[in-house]
Amino acid sequence: MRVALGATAALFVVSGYFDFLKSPDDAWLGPSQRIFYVHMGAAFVVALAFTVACAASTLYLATRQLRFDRWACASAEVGMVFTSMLLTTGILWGKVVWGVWWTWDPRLTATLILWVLFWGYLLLRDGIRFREQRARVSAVLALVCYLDVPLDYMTIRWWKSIHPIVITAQGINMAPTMIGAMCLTSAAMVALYLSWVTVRVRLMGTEDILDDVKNGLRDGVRCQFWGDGS
Amino acid sequence: MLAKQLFSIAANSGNATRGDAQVQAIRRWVVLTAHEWTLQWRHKDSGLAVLAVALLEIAAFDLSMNRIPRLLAQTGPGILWMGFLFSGTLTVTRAYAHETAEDVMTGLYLAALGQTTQLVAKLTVNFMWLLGSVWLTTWLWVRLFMAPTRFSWAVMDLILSLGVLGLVSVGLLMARVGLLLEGADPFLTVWLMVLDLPVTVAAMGATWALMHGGDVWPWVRGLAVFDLIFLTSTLIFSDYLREV
Repeated sequence: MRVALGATAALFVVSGYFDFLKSPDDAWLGPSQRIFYVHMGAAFVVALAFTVACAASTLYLATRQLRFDRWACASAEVGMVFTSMLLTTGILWGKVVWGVWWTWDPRLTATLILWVLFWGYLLLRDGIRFREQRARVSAVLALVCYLDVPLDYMTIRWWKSIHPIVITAQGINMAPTMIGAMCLTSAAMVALYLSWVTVRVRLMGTEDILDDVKNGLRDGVRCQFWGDGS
Repeated sequence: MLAKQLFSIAANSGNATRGDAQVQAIRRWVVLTAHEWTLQWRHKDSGLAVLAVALLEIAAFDLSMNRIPRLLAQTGPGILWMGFLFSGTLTVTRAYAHETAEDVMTGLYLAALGQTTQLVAKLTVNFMWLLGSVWLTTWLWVRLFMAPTRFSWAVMDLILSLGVLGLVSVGLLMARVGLLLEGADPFLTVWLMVLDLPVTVAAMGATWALMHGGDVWPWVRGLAVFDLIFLTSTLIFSDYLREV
């Protein structure tokens, strides 16, 4: 785990060098272009995180192994952090380029909806007490929430949107040095996502063990106090 | 009487041959739909809630903005569909409330009536009640605020049906989730409204285009696609929510 975290930190240092020193300013946007590298990296991780949550939920429903539920929840949690980062960097970039903090553009709205949906997923999980029941309902909710992910991706292609389309069938609409910086930042963010999710999954496993111990102790005390039920 | 009928059908269904299976399924659906209809007729809350919100909207907008009829005609589809979303979601998420209160759920779970048939019956009745209220509200709105406007009511019926189907299908799935939640039902309702947003936007866009001479069909196609996705999801996932 330490190696993974060290590698993530190293990736961030290298990508930081490329983002802030190596890559040139954009001819039109100036230095504000550098916000885009973080924005794009966050967008990539958001798609990955919610896809992992969806896949893990499907696997849970197929196998009923709780470790998949932990993966789904952890991935959704970390995905929420990156969605917040995506929205924040988008807002900052939008203020510079469009002159407004927020506009009800289809892409922005769909991303905000995605954020609210997965926020709801995490909140509704807390409303269910029993672990298996919670895992089952959460898996269904995650799959329903995931419907917004492809919709979010396609908004700028289906509706009139002012959001730029960077990745097209013809390639990436950027200078090669900028593509390098973007790819490095995305790689660093994916590494951060993987490390974070791994830690969170382990933590959830420990939480479950702790819950089992607590319940066992509670049952033991109850048996001692009330007898063994006979 | 109804319980007796349900029981006899459940008992007979075990003896059905393969050829009778489809007939049995239709009979079960008819009986369960009748059961749902009786429940709805007895309580009348789902239809009345939509009409109450609609009357509130009509009264509020008539009193405040009737001097600007053009504005009401322009904003009508948005106002109407936000009302339908609000009242429809509130009522559909409580689709199992009467069964829970009257302790019918366990019986329904155990009855050999086919779980999907039960869901389809509930879907049918909720759809019919909601569509009735929604249609009446739209007609009232058009009569009151958009009298000179001319459009095809057949297309309007199609838009209303597709919009209501979208609201009801995903609403029923969440109603199942609501049965398992402890004290988080109000949040579930609000959350469901967000989930229903694509259907609402498409229905709103189609209604606006129809009322103002725009191109309706791209919106209707979008609405049909969302309905298909939501309906399929509900039919697939509701099985997982039924497990005890």
